[in-house]
Amino acid sequence: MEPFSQLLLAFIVFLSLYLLGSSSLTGCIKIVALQGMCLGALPLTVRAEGFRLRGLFLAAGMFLLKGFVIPRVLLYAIREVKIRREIEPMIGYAPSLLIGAVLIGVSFALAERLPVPAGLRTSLMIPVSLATVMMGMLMMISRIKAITQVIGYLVFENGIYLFGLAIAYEAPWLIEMGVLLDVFVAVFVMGIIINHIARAFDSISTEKLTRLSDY
Amino acid sequence: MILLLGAVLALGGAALLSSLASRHDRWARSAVIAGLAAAAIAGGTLAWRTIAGQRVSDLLWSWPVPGAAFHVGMDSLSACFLLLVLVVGCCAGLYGEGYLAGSHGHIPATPVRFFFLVLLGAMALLVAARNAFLFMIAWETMALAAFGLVSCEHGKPEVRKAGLLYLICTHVGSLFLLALFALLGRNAGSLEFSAFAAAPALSAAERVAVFLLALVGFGMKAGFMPLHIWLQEAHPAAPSHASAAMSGVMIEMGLYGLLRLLSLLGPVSIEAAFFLVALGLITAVFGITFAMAQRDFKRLLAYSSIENIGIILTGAGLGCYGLAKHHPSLALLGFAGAILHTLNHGLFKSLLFLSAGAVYQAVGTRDIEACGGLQKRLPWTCGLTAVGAAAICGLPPLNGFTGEWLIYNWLLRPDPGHGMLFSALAAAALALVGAFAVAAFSKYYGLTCLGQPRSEAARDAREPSWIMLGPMALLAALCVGIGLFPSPALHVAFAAAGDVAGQARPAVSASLDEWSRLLGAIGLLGAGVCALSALLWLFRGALLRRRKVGLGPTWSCGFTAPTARMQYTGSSYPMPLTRVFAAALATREEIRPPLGYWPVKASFESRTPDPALERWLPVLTAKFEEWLSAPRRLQYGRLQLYLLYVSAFLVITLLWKL
Repeated sequence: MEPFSQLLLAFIVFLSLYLLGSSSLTGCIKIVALQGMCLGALPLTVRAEGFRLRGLFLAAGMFLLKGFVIPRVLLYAIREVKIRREIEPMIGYAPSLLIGAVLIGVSFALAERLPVPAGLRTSLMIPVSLATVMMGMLMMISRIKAITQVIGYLVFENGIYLFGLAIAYEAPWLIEMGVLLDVFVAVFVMGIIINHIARAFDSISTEKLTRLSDY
Repeated sequence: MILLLGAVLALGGAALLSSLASRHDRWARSAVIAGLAAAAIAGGTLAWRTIAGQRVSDLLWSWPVPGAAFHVGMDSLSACFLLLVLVVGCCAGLYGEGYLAGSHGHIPATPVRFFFLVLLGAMALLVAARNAFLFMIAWETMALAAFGLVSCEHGKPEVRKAGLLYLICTHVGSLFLLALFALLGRNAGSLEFSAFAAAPALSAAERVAVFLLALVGFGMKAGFMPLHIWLQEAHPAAPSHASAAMSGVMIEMGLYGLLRLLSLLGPVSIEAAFFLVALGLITAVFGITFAMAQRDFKRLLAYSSIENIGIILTGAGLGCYGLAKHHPSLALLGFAGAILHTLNHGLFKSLLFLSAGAVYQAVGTRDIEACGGLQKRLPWTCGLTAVGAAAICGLPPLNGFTGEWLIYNWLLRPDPGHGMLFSALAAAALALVGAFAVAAFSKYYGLTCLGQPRSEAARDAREPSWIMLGPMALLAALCVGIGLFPSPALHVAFAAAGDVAGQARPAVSASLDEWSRLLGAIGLLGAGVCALSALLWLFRGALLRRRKVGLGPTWSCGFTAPTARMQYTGSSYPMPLTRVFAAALATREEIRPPLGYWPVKASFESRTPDPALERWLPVLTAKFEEWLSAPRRLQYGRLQLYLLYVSAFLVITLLWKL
């Protein structure tokens, strides 16, 4: 199973990079969905010694929520506000890709120095999770449309999930469920808020929100 | 201690029930009255037993929160303040039902009832708390409930402003208290009050820090001079019965905190005691000077609360001086004066706020200059106002005299150790305060109740309902009763002072007997004067029985068309005194005098803004803004930038730690 999990991890990083360079919103949502599905499948591949029912259950929940439910909410949101493309990112697509590549390098360097249990040192899991977190962050920072920020947030959260998976495979059931629920509610709320922003400002560009600042 | 829990739970339960039954006014009202009655019976029994010398064992439940425990206990100091909370709270709560009914929906009844009961419950818990964590919870609940009361008429912009100011002030105070308890807790290794008392001595610097933290933290609530800024804004904004509870009891909780801390940590240094006395006198003189200059009568009462807090602080400072000099009888006398004045202030100030509320409802304004001639129209309300006004001025047959008399006695005692100059100055300042109080309250009573009505509303004013008059009458009866028979109140005050000064019962009761005898004699004299006046009044009535008493217009110096507006006004009556203090008061006057032979328009307007709030605070905030303007440039209001800041910070900390 080890090679399979390595493959999945590489695929996850690749998807994050792809997101950084893609301008179509529908495409972005589909990629995030795919990334979510990979994440859902990942726990099934890391442990060789058979599955527990609980693990299967969680994986299925993750798969469904991140692969189908959340993308649905987001697709609904962009259909409501009628936008297709992120036109003017603060950092262009090619530079974002370059920065993304640098971030992957940085995360490998960081992962070397992180005080993690010895067994994990060689695994790809830690650097991939750090890279995913950073790229999600980069996406939130560099994009202007509210919807892409939500996507960035999802990528960011995927990274955190990966990190959790690496550190504590046996994370308590309740915490896992709590995290899943959090993400779902967050995306749900953001989907609704995006609609409201669009209605109030005639646009979902967060630039317009600066009007709300004190001065 | 079950009784205390019962009282707190009764108040909390009544708060919940009254808001659940918000649709049915009658049920909500019964819930409030039942809760108040139950709390009064339970808490009153407990307080009375404690003061009588019965030992009440503490109640201690552990809590999963580190350092915290539900630990409540009772001693005379707690019992004394609990009595105050319950007496004033029940009178004000009962009155509040009439007041809410009389406001015809201008005041939202449900939140006012809820917050009022929560305020009382929190204060009852506060005085019994024996754990700093529990104390802070009760303190914050009290502060927030009061915020709810202050801003209940939030439709008005000035009310919102007052509410915000109060909220900021109370949180600044809480911040200082948190620092104080953190410091004490670190030293003691526990947040229990008993551990604070048993802890190793603090270093000199820590003692200074504790003193200053407590002074600001508790002083913000009590309203010591530069920290009083919220008081005169918040009291007029709250409904009258809430102002009564806030002014009569809540601000005293600041003093309770100081006294409790003194009883735990022992004497302060002599310099600190001097500082407290000086601060108290400055606060008192400041408060009463500004009270004189006000036109809004609730604002006048709020400033007079500042004055009374000053007098109480003076007494407490004198007690500290006695402690520092190891002079037990002086310490006891000072603290007893302070505590007795606290009790008395709670009674007469809440009486005055309640009667002011009745006048406000009858006339519809808080402007003194729109009132006048109310004695004829609201004889009961105005009569009770007169009792409260006389009591607050410290006139002898009433209770205001007793506490101030103890403090004067401290100052006039020829004891070695403290310079005569200090005593003489302090006594003179107190006398000045007393005289100004007479000026301020003769203005209040005279301009609102006597003379001719200055407005239509004042002419048509009607007496409030009995449910408002009853509690006022009870408070007035207590004021007169304590004045004539002071020994029960003295007993309470001395028992509590004994706790603060750390003295045993026998020593306390010896001192108590001495002062009780003297004050009892004065009370009897007062009773004699009252009886004589009553006799003379009856005699006058008998003489006038067969004669006709006529009413005529006031002689107007030959002017042919006098109107009711040609009476003394709120600014002209105290003018001889306010002119002397013109530099300090900085009254803003806008005068447009009549010009030419046929003047068309002329006007005069005066306003006395609070110096700390409107002159000193802006300077301070301007300085702060100057300092903070540099980091403020980082605020663009753009979401992406904030995210960048956060991630940059995280990455830097990660790199730095690795």
